[in-house]
Amino acid sequence: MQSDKESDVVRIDLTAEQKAQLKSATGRDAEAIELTMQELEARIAPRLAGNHNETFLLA
Amino acid sequence: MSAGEGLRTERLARAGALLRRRGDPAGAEPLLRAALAATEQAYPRDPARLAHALNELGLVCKDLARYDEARALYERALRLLLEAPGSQPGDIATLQHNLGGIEHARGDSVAGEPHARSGLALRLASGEGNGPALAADMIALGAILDARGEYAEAERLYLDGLAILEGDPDAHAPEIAVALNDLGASYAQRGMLSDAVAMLDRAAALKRRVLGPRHHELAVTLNNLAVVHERRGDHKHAAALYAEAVSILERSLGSAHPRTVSCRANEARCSAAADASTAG
Repeated sequence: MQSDKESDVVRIDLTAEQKAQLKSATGRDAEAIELTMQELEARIAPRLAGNHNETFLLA
Repeated sequence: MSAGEGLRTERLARAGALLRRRGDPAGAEPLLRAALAATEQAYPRDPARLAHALNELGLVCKDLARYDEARALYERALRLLLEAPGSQPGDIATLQHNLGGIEHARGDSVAGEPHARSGLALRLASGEGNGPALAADMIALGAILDARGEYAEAERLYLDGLAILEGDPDAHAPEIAVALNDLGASYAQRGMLSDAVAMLDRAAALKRRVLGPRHHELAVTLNNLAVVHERRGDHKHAAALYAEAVSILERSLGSAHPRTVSCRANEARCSAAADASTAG
């Protein structure tokens, strides 16, 4: 895994098995995937979702 | 736990969350219930994953007006995170936000305010900065204060929250629509009916665009707009808005949901008034 600090993009090189899985699932060839730090954090530890407190007026 | 089981759990959770966001809580519930069971089995010692699964199911229970169940799920998630070292303070803040939301939906703003204030304070202390989660906490607290008649603080929170969200309006459109709905409802409660219509019209247009025409959150704003038009004496316009809101609520939340029942009663009363004024 390599990180480009200037743009905060993380490159994750895929293993041979991961490349095969990607090819099987999408038909596409790729050597690596690139995610921003924000995207990576969301994958590793998705944050909890908040509810919406919406006012519902009574007539 | 095998990789396949982990993937299945993840897929159930993602599909359930997607249906919930699309406004189909009844469709989301069985998926999220299965995701929670699978998470409990596959990750029994992973508080963050368990809290996530509990919270998602809690959100759906809240949408379906099963408030006791939602609160129990949030409280279990909160206990797990509070007992686990290294939990994200922002997630604890979100659970306090959601616990406040349960009391708000129940109509008990006195019970909701400490949760909402605690969530906001935790968020500020979490180091997340002035992000959309902080704005959502401000707007949620504003709605609780509105219900208590504390309009000045509520309006300040709505406007401060909107200022944050409007930094990236496309990314935060659903939350902007919530803030506009709540601000419009607040103006309506204060008798500022023209300002209320302006805010609620914007909220309805935004919800229609980003959530679609069948989402129960759109119905909330249509109901509020109808209330304002009814108060201005425009019964025909109000009745049409109530009818659209009832149609959405019956499909998305069911005919026995408290909001459907309330909106249907509004529609019947307003339609009768519209008919009477036409006959007169």
